[in-house]
Amino acid sequence: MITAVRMPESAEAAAEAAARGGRVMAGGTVVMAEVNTGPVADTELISLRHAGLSGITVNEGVARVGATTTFAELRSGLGFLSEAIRTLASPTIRNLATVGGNLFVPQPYGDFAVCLLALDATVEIAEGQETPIAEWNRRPGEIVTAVRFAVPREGTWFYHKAMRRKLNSAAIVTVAAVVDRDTVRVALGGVAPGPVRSPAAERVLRGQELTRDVLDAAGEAALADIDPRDDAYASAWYRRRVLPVHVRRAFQNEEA
Amino acid sequence: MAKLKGRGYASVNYPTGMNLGGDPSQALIHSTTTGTFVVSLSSVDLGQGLKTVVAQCAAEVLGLPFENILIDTADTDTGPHCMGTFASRGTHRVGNAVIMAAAEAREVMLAVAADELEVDPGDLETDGTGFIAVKGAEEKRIHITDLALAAHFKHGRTISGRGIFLKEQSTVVPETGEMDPDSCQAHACTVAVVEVDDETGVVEVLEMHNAYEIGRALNPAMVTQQVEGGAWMGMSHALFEATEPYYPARDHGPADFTEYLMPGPADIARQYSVILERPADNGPFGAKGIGEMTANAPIPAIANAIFDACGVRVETMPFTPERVLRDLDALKGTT
Amino acid sequence: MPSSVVNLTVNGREQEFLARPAESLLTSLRDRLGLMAAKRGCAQGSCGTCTVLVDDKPVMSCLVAVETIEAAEVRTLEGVADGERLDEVQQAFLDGFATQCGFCTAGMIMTAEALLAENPDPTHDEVVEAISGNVCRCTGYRAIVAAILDAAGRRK
Repeated sequence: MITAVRMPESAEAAAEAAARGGRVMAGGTVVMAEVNTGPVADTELISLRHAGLSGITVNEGVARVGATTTFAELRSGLGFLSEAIRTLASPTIRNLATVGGNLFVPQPYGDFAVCLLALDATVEIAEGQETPIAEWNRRPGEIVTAVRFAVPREGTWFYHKAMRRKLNSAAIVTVAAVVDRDTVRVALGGVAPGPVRSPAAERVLRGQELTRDVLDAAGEAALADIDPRDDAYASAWYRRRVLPVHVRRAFQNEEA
Repeated sequence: MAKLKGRGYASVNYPTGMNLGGDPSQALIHSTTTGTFVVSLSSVDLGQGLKTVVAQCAAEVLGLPFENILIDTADTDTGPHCMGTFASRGTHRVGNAVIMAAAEAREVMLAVAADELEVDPGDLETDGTGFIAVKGAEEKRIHITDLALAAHFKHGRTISGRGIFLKEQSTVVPETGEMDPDSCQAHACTVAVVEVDDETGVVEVLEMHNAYEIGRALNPAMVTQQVEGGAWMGMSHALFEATEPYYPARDHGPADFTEYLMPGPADIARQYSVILERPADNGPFGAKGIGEMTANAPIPAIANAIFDACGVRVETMPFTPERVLRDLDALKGTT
Repeated sequence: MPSSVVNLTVNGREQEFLARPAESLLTSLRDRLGLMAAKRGCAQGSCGTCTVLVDDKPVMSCLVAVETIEAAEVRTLEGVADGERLDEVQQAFLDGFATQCGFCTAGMIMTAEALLAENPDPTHDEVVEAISGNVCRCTGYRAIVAAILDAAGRRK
């Protein structure tokens, strides 16, 4: 049962509060749902709403996005992410849900974490350290303060999310990719306990024109890198069965 | 990869009301001193619009504007009895009871007006705007507000009425099996147009065409809404909803409205609805019930459309992309 | 456990009340301030019946810990009509039969108000996306989308 809500007003204060214990809450879209439907083990919430952790800056092609930046703010701030953000939950959630918070939600939610993996983002934590997201493991008491990534050149960013509904639904399969000459990063969501890269698909795509045959081969290859589970949206069987289709469609820019 | 289009239809007939030990509802109506007619009911309006429809019935019988009617469904402790709003019985039973009550109230209303205007009640008519006037001599008239005041304070009369509709219990004729369990039956047909994505098994309902024969559409806009809302529910049940997605295993039962899948506003079909009327001789102005049936026909219509599109016979709801895809694989021999 | 004093401007009026730790804005509106239009459909942020405006943004009020929005401006359905005069969105919902049981209606209208304030001439698809977080069980959504487009037209 929650007996206090702390509201630290700086990154340092937030880190101190988190180190002392308590559940960190950014947008509240996960934590408040649990608190409302209780019981919860925590007695304290640490709200990051006033810790000064929101905001987007772009310097020489590198974006730094504060951890409590909401998805609504991000969508207006970084246009290339607009279509991807449109697939995340609904507007009334996006006005609250944060970039940082999305790093902590389990698959098949957390599509933005999939995007960050494809963008090879770094995660900045309160102590001023940055870690590449693929190597980052969250530790209790740690506050993510920002993420940083190079903004992809136009025409090199690809994103496709297959859902049971056209809007506001969790991932059956999410594909996020950057393909820019020799840089090929393909990240997948909905098909493993966390977001995963697909080195196998990347090997197929590297240096190749994105023809139908190449995309089909990449999709088939990606099967080697997944570990799908059953959930209320789709089974592991189904996710495995349609993964190659959605990998291909991510690069085809056609109405799936 | 192909999007395969298909069309299918299904039809349904649906009974109005219940048999049980008889199926009654009562209504009481009384005029306030300023000519508002309060209809007292225990019937519940859940949003289906019962209050609107019975107010229309009362206004029609009384010959007064809709705005003069006040429906009071406040208290099942004290109100006149109603079996409830279910079994598609509301419009039919309660409508009939209200008509009966309003007819009695109208008689009293005209009798008092006759006294006021010093004519015979048979010489009077209502003009629908609130006046009771002498036929052929409209300038000799009285407004219901003045009439109600006069009734209460001058004549000592209550302008009120009582109504009940009972569908009597029907028992089976043992020799033949004949019985009369429902008052009337409404009929409907839905044609569904779907598109099946043969690479993912995803079914999209593009169109639903609905024809409903419901005796009398007392409120055509509300009937259309019932048809469309019900068709949405049918589509939802056909393609999305499950409390046990891995039945008979109980795993992954939905824990919130995110996991409990229902089509959202981006997933709806274009609908075209037609209302047909074959008045029922025992319905209020001929109306039949349309409450529950609207979710029924769309489901098999969608199933038939899927078969038309891609040859897959779905038999278990919901017709998930996985079920369709497994059946497509089996058809192609690629299981 | 100790309650906190919270100050909000709600429908243009300053309100001060006590809130329990981690109490949601929805609970504060309904149980402290008697504003019952916002509904508690799921308390999990998955139905949208609790949608209100916080600093002009439509949010799920069940997901907002009210202590964290001290001094915010909140608008609910109760603040939409001008006395007895319904605004264009409310009137369009009535005229278009876009409400049946009414449970989603308050959330739908607040979502629509926010949309039209930011985008006075939305396309059909923009309306659909705006209400994609509001669940309706009765209408099948068509009449709601039509009512919001109708209201936009009336405002022009």
